[in-house]
Amino acid sequence: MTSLEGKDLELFCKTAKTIFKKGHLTFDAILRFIGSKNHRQDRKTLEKLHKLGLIVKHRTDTYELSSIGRMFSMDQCEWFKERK
Amino acid sequence: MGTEIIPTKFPEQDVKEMDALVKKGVFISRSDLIRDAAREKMREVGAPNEFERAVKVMAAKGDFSSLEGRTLASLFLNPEKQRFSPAEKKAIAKLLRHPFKILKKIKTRVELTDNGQKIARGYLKGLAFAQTLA
Repeated sequence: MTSLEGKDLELFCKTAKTIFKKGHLTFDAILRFIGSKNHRQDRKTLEKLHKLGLIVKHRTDTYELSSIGRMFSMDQCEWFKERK
Repeated sequence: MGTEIIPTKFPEQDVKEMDALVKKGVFISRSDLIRDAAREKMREVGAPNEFERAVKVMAAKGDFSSLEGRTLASLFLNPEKQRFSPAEKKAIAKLLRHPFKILKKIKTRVELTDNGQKIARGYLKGLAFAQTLA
């Protein structure tokens, strides 16, 4: 599946918000900042986001939003939609 | 630091609520409460919101001038467009290979998928806001 919905989309939006605020981060740091309660499951979702090309990996094992990821978040995330 | 007196009128109900907070000990005085509230409001208005921050990041990273973004936006605004420049063709070839399935090719036609439309909308939304910041 290449669509992003429900809990996966929610996690993506939290990740996007954190990365926009703090810059590139490791998976562990992202999970900590988004207040993950199920690290194993959320880590799998982050890996899925990486496979889909919405987040990209740096050489230092940190992750950042890709250009496509940034544009996608701007349309799909509630914290952007709230803006009128 | 010098100070200045600013005479301000408040409705009686607000003053009653202020006095209740002062009585509770949350604030030392009415003035203390008003100063604190004004400072908080100034911080809130002065700080960039999430959206503004994101648009600034996108502008700094060159997302709005990227060929991929512009190609997606032109396909979104004009789905009938099928004649592309060599540079756009390169961008399209790249986007057709993207794992998020942004574009699809039907025979010789190139179309945006649902994901592609969402991305193009995000690009345009960000670009529109970036224009207001400039």
